[in-house]
Amino acid sequence: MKIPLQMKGEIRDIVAGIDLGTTNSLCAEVFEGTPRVIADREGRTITPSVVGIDDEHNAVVGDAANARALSNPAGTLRSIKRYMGRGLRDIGDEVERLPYKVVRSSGSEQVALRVHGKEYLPQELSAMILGEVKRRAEKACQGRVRRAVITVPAYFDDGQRQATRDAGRMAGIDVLRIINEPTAAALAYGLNKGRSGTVLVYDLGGGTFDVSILKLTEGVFKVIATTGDTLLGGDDFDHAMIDLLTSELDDAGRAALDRHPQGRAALKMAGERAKIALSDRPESRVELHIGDVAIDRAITREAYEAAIEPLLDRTFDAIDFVLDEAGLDPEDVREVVCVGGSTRTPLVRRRLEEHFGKPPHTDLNPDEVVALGAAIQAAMLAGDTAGEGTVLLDVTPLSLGIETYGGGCSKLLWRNTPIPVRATEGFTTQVDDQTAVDIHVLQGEREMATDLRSLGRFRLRGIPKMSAGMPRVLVEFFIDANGILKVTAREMTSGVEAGIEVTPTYGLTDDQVEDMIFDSIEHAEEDVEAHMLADTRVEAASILRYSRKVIGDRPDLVPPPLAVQIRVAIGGLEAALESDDREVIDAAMQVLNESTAPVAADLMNEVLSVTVHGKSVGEVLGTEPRTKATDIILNP
Amino acid sequence: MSTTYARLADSFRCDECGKDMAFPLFCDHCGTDYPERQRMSPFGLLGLEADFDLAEDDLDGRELLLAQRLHPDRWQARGERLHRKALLAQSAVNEALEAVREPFARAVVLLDLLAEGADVPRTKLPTPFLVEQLELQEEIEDGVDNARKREMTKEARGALEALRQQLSEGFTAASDPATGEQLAALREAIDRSHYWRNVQRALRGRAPGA
Repeated sequence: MKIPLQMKGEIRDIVAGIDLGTTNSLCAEVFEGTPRVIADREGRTITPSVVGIDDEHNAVVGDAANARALSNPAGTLRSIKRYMGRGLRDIGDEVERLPYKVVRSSGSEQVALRVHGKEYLPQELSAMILGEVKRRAEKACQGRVRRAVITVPAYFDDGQRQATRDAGRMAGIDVLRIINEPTAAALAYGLNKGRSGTVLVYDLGGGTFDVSILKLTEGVFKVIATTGDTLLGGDDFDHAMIDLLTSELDDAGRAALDRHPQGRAALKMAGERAKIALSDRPESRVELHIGDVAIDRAITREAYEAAIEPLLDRTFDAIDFVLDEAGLDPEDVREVVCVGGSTRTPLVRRRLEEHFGKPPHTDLNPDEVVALGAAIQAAMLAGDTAGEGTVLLDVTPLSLGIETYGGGCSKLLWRNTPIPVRATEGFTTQVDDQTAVDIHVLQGEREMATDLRSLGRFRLRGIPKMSAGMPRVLVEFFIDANGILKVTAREMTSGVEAGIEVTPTYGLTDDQVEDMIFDSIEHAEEDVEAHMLADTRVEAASILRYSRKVIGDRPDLVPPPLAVQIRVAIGGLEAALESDDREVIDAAMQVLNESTAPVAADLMNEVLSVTVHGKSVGEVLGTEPRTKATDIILNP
Repeated sequence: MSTTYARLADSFRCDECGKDMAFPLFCDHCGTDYPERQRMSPFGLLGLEADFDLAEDDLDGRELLLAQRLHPDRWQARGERLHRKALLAQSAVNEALEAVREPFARAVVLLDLLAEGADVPRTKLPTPFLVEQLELQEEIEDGVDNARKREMTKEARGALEALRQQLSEGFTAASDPATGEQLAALREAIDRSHYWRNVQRALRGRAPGA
């Protein structure tokens, strides 16, 4: 369908796709059925994600902010995306080198940037960038941007997505959807070329690296697996270049550079230019005078490639990891899509070709592909025809679970589960007459609660007094199509209910998200062991309590010789619990279990309608994969 | 596609609009929902025959079709109430797909159906098998070189393939109603698969950097 050409003086409604990047931001739309990036009169498509704030707190954004960067280093704010939805503890120590202060905001746990004595929240700063992007698009197209899809790295958690959404709202934009950058990239390629098959998206942006595997089939884009290294990107390439440029300086020279207020910024700009030049030329010359320090260096592409090789190795580790997770070999990947300006580096393309045996797709501008995809999704959500037949099936990037008695984590949803999705699991109380349970929502890949990110806690109160193990607490996780989590808990025998929208007080650092996944691999064994020991102890305690109850409360059911046997077994388990040896505890538990078995069935029928939470020895070794509840409730 | 709803006892025509529904819980034409059907098996929900040898393509086909009809993005313009219902319906689709996609998870669902709600207790696996599994786990824990890792990966894959084959034959041969022996044999194959999958998991867990 063709959109009718606008009438003179009529204000066109632009449904935008916005790539809010760490370094640069772009805006695209589907115009007359074709996605295009919106350029201004000078042909500029990129708005640098830079905010400049002067002593009087006047803000400028983009090129204007860059232009004043050298004269206003303390008020030039970059890489704002890294602070979105973060707490102070989440931010690495790299902020210490910044000319402005990263502080805990007054009034909340999240960080703010203190500039010339005033605090700015990352959302506010991002909103300024979005506002500038919006203004430029409106000016170029003589229309209004009211609705938009904004992209985020696949790795962003709830808090970060929420912060991005808030920034959009502050900029006066109705955010139709937050979508993942790699998905957007695949969307752009898929629709343009009508390809189907397995696609790997290699996204090396200014500040983050993401790799995702998607399955494209007629009209449906399905994200199969995604991972990344979220503190790796073009910025690191710049640092590698800066190190090369300054490698011949002596200590005094370096110290002089560091002291000079504009030293770092000038060096970074020169390094960035040299890096870009090396994509087309074998050598680049840098001449720079900063104060008393003079730099005059010729950098060869070879030297530069050697410097960035270790960084690229990290990206290929992530590729292997995500392929393994999706159960694929490199040959199974039909297409490799490059996203992000850093993928212009010839070495990146060469190595991708070596790894997959085919050249990566670079037909679309790697800086624009995310915005184009976002525009396609926006057009579809707005009911435009451009996206007809296209549905995007996304996945949750991190596993979600709740803390169990003993410090373990029971996972309700595994990472890479398609969303929207609901998962439920039943839990019970551990103490007689317990009237409340704390539900502690956790996110991440490790086994123990202390190693996971706490997303929030809430308490389910008003459980009627019952023996331990009797109440049935059903916890439900629901993740909607935007990836926003809602948790509710209900005690089934009484119907008492509690729920929260889980909004983290402060999110995970990208780094931590990353650590959580790779950590969990490295620590998988110790985790599993610790988890199993904790589980075993809980189970042993339950069995002890239960066995004592059997011989104490119901002597009528227990013939005297059996009572003696049970008492001995109880003593054995009590002794075994003194140790940290799971196998010893298991064995003693087994003995006790067997000795009480003859009376268990009778008593079970009589006393308990709900079994005590616990696992058999066999289950502990061969832990059963969790099957999802099959009783699907459409109207909870 | 090997099956359609028409073959099931209850073909799903919407009571409100009279059209054929792609998914029994929610009419993809008029948005009427049918919560009373929420206890249907995942196979029933997906309109697939309860068959262990489910073709991957059939599953993918259903996933595509259902996503195209039910995905909440498709219902964005039809008001908050219908959008919410579509969201829940798509979530039910995703849960059902997850329950049957992986063959051994699918076997658990099928065993439940076959046992008609009766509990099929875990089997007591022979000691030599358990010992072998323990030794494999210990070996992995102590660290294995890449050659050995490949060997073990192959072994686990082979064992799982054999179990899958065994389940396939077992489910095909099972009488209606299934005998206790048939159920126990299926249960044992499923139980064994858990051990092998844990071996796989442990092997994969060491993948990066090992």
